[in-house]
Amino acid sequence: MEHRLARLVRPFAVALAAIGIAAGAVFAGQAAIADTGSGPISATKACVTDATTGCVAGTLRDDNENGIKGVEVTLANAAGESDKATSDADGRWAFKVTTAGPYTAKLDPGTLPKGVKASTTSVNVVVTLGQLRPAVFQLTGHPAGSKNTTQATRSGGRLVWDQFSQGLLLGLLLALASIGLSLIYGTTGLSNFAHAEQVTLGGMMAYTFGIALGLNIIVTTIIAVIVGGVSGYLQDKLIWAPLRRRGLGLTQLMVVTIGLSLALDYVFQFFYGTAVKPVSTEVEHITGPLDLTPTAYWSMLISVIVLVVVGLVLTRTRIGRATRAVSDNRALAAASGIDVDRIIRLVWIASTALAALAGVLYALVNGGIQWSTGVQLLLLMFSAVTLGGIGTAFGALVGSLIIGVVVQMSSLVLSSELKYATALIILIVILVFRPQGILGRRERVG
Amino acid sequence: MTTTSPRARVAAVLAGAAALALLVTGCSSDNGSSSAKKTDASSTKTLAAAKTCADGFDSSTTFGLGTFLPLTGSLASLGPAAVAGAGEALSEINAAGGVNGTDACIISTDSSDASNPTIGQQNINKLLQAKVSAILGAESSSVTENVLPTVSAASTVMFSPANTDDALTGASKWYFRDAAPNSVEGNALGSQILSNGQTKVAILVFNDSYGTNLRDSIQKAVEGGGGSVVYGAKGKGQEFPATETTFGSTVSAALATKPDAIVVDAFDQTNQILPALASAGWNMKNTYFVDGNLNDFTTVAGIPDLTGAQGSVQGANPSDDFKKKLDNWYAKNQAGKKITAYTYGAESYDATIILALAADLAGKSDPASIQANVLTVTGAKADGSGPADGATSCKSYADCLKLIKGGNKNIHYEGQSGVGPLNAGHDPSSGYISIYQYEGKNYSKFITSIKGSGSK
Repeated sequence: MEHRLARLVRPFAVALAAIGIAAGAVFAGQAAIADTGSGPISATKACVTDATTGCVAGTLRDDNENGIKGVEVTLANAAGESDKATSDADGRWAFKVTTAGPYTAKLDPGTLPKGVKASTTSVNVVVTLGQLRPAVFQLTGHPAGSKNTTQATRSGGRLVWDQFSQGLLLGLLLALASIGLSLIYGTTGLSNFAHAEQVTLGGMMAYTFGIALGLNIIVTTIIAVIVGGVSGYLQDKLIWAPLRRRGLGLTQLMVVTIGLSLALDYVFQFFYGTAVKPVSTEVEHITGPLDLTPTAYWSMLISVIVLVVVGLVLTRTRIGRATRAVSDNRALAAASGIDVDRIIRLVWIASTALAALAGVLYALVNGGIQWSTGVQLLLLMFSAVTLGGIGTAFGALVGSLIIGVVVQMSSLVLSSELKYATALIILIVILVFRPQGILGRRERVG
Repeated sequence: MTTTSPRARVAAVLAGAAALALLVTGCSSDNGSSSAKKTDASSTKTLAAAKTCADGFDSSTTFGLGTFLPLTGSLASLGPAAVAGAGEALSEINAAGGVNGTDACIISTDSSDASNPTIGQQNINKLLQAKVSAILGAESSSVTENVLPTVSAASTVMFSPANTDDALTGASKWYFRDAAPNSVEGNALGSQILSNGQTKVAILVFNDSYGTNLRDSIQKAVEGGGGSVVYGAKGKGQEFPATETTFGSTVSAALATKPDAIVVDAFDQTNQILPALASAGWNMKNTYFVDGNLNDFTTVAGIPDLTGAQGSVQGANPSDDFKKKLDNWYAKNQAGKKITAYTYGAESYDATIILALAADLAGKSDPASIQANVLTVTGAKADGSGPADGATSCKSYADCLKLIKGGNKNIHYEGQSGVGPLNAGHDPSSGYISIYQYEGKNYSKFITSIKGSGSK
């Protein structure tokens, strides 16, 4: 419809412009002021280029980015032919030119409103037919009544703070995502590469229930966490428990997790395609002391609470103690009456449920989820748990915060391309000096 | 299009045999109409899709087009328009009597994107093994750069409707394109930003040859016109990785430079960048889009209102008639699915017709014969040194075919996309860039069309 309208209107606009030019010429003939509109130059409302028309155009704005109306701009060529345009309510002015070559656009400072100054009043342009040539007049100041519509200004210190808050957010979400990785390693010794897909699964469930089925976000999150937990239960029942019974070595088990990871990636691609799937319908605004949206604050709070609860459960409850006993010495734990398989299954359920929660929150604060989101996070997750001390709950938190903050703040001084590299280099350096990780051994919980 | 029933295959073989028989008996001027489908009311009727090529078809007698377009991946939103463009062109070709009297057939494959190179490589091998006459694709410049060595080594024509990377100019004698290179688009978009009175420009660019090349030409235009690029400029290392999943930090770093305008120079990442920009309080009307992400976001959840934002795209504004044709074709042949962005639809249509006409001119549809005649049918001299003298213009496949059958070897196919004759680098010698403005979440307002000359 719009295009058809545009097509209908365009000939009229051209006709009107032509009448305008004719009228201008008649007026010029009568008036004392020589506004000739002569030769190849003619002022116009909106210039559209074609094979025989070039455009010279610009927009005059004050420093609040509001258009300035009623300013006169003259375009002239070397032969002395010229025309005058007056800026419209948006500050726009434009000329049609039918001969290629050099032109000079001059702004009449006398027509600028009070409070606005032009640092340049003359701009030279070379016109090519069929092309648009912008002419920029640098203006400073603003007239009375011009409202500030520009961004809130950010100082250099503010930028550091912004990046720090982004780092904190990434760190806490990473911690939530990687705690399960650490727990599974702690109890079974397995490095689960398919953990990344558990994170993606959470995000995809948020899309499925929150967007595709339109459920409330809290309900959606609960469903996603349940689906995540169920997937952990089924995995352990159908894959990991039988493999454990058959006494498969850890290396082989790890290869199985890699295979499972790739298989799940393709399953996600099959069901959801490769596009980014949105999980939130609302656009939020950044508020509060950090450079973050309300959802991000909630996500960080949830992450901290969940991590503390997991830490307390491990250290203060019977199940937690049993879990630690299994991880320290499985045979001894079994001999002292602990149902080892049940504990391991519980750990799988908790780990995958937490990963799903992390997936929902990550998708919420980052504007969507994709089949590869988890995979992109996997190496960061491994780095975070290794850095913090693999197998420990609080280690995952400390490691994740370091990785998150370093990744986001490194772009202040280094190329953005290197941001993930920086985190991994720090990991290597720390491990060289402290192979067990920052909190390894000393506070070993899992 | 997806399945070929045994009966259809038999019919195709029979039709091919019949056409061949006619050819053998020397009935050269009438064979077109005898194998032509129905009436010549093709322009109003929605045509059925061309058939999938039979296994082991002979590409020198049957024009078999292999499409290599993004059905998945970060450019998937642009896939439907190209699929419909190529599909409609093949349907029209067959309605006009086919290529050299035989109905054209198609093998359609997925190019995916540069982050999933195995999919593209696998499908290119599939097309090369099927010995197609020519390959239409890819859309992503990076994907083309990945597979072009393989395609060139197999001596097969590759014609891209959408590659805009300047580095692909003259990349191979087998490679052609009809999209205006980035330099043309960047120049137009940069000029448009400045003429809107915005001089401090931040560019959110991803690290991919498409993104950085376009960035370079936008930057050149902005700086050449008296503006400055305050974020994402060349050599600053502010490009984000193509696999990035979190954009809060990129956005706040860009906003910290206090830009007047932000250009989002990315593909699918745009869906995550836009909410992040809106969250940070950015006035969306000062946002600019490029051809890789100038989409209709109406059905995408979580995208802010974009009214006033502008974007550039290759090609003149496709006519409403042409858009409707693509819509109808796609709805009919893709189970009622809809096209959301028309970007590169016209270019795909033109590329398909140019390839078919080249085969008609050669009298054979094997890759080498097509390769030797592509420049000629676009109205260029055979060596690409300039427009051919006295070339006869024709606007549709049927008209151009009539000229060729009439013995005219000097034609100029003027297509829907408005590109000029191809040059020695196998690029269009000139092309149009259109600027659109968003109303709500769709780029429905056409602002202007700017003609620019291609590189070199």
